[in-house]
Amino acid sequence: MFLSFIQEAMENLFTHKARNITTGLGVSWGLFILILLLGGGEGLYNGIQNIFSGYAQNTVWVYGGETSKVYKGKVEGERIDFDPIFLDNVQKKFKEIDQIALDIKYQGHLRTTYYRNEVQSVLKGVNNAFFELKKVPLKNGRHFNLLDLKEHRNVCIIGQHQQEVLFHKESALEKTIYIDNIPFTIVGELENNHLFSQSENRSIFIPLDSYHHHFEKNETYSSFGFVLNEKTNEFIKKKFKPFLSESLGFDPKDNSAIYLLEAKEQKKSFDSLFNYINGFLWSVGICLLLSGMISISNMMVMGIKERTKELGIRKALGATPKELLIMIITESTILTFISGAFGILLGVFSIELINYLLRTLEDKMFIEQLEINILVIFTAFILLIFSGIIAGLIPAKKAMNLTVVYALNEEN
Amino acid sequence: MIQISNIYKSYLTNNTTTNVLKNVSLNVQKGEFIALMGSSGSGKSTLLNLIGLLDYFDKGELIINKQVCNSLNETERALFRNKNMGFVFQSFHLIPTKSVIKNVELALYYKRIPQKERSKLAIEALQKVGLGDKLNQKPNELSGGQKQRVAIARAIVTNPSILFADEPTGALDSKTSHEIMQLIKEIHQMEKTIVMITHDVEIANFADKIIHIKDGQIVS
Repeated sequence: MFLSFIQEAMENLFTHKARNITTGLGVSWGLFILILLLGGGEGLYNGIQNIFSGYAQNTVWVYGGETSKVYKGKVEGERIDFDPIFLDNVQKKFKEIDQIALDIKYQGHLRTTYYRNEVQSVLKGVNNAFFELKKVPLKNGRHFNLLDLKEHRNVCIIGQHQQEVLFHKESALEKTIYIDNIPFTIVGELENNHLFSQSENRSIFIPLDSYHHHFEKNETYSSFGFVLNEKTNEFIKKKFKPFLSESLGFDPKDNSAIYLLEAKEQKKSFDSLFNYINGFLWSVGICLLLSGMISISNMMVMGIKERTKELGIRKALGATPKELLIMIITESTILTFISGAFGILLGVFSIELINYLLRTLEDKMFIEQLEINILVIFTAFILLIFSGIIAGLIPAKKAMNLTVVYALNEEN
Repeated sequence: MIQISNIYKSYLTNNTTTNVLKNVSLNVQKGEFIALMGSSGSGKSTLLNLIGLLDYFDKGELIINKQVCNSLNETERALFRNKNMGFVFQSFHLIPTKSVIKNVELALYYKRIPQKERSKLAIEALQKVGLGDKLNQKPNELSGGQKQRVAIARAIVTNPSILFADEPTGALDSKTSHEIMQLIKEIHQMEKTIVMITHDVEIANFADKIIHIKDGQIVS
């Protein structure tokens, strides 16, 4: 009997193809857009997460500024720098700090050549911890190793722009370039599709020791970074900032003396922003679903009104009120189910297509791997089916209460 | 077979009560063919609707096949109609979106007969009324006479004991009317009880008994 109900409902749906297809498309569209919106939101979130993957979790970068307050006999306007003794003290004093990353940038550009090709470069001396903290991705080659440092080798890692200008499409690995007439062997090329690589497009990295040996003897740094181990709640506020103030000699309330950049805090801000974006996307998605539900309700109400005479005939032939109720609800449920499933398929297919296109794109515009939350989609689908039942229930109840004579005499 | 005792029916329109049937009593024997005649507004269609359980009366008693119908609820009335009654209407009342065979099968569907059996019985009924070759056509592709034949096939396919015909030839020309009446007569010969409404004396003469209704009362 159950199959008979389904068969009869399907036959009825097929007799009003155009109306049911347009209504169904409304439902499909609602679910399709919901999937795209939520998938897009996830993609954007993944893209931003990927950018953060350029920094080790729990990373803190400290930038020296200028004092703006008089403190313990020192006048304002003093430049804050970090020397090796201070940095050594930091590492010894705090067991929460795992390793200290250092980078120093050469003031101005340096002429870099490979045979007849030449390019102006930004030169940076870095220690090995720098690569670990920034998680610098390489397209080819390797980071610096202990032998490079121990033997003071003239090795370097180059950015995409330098690679393109000096070597065109050739591999730059193991080739020797001249930076300000000093030979350096290339051991690594930076990955292109990464925010960090994009900002370091024109940079050439060399080991810190080589930098000091060839270009700049002064070993003071304007910034440094470190990774905190896990048990570090409020470490920065309660321990590290007071220590900086004390040992570098500036007012603890002087906000321009140093700048601290905590990856964890930045990620928190982004997460909070994404919660708002997600909330907005959900609101739009729910509104679309609601319009789908209203569309079904409208179709069912109008459909039943149009079919009053048919319902009268069915009653005259022996249809019980319960059978009519089941028939109408089955019709709306099937319509919602099929169109909802179609919307989901279309959405999933589109998400996969977008992901495929994203994989082939070089500039991903901060979007990475759109994802579908199956549970959310399933819930939306169930909600739609439920609304389809409700949508059918109201006109069905009305139809049940009609007398046969009234229904038969109804003019459409 | 059908026992109607002291039935009253009135309609309320625009705060005005119209008494359509006043104290109507009637007995129809099993296998009898009766024709209800009367002018427009006399109450004959209302009476047929009440006996066919298509409408409710205000007062009185209705017994069909020993079943007191007064107290039946909507579901019981539907099941009773499906089991015991067949209907033929002046305006055919076929479902325009369904094919001829599906229209006939519909009565069997509500009798919970399986699909295969439904098709077989529907084809047999349509062959009986001479429409064995029109199974998959839609009602709007048929002539008036053919539509009425489909309606008759639908009415008899469940093998009911009573056939109600509300002006079955009202929308047909005289030649087709005659053919339809021949068909109804044949059904009557299959020991079916028939209650027919008509205002045409010639058509009424097909019945065993003619009952005249005037102003909501049986006059002869």
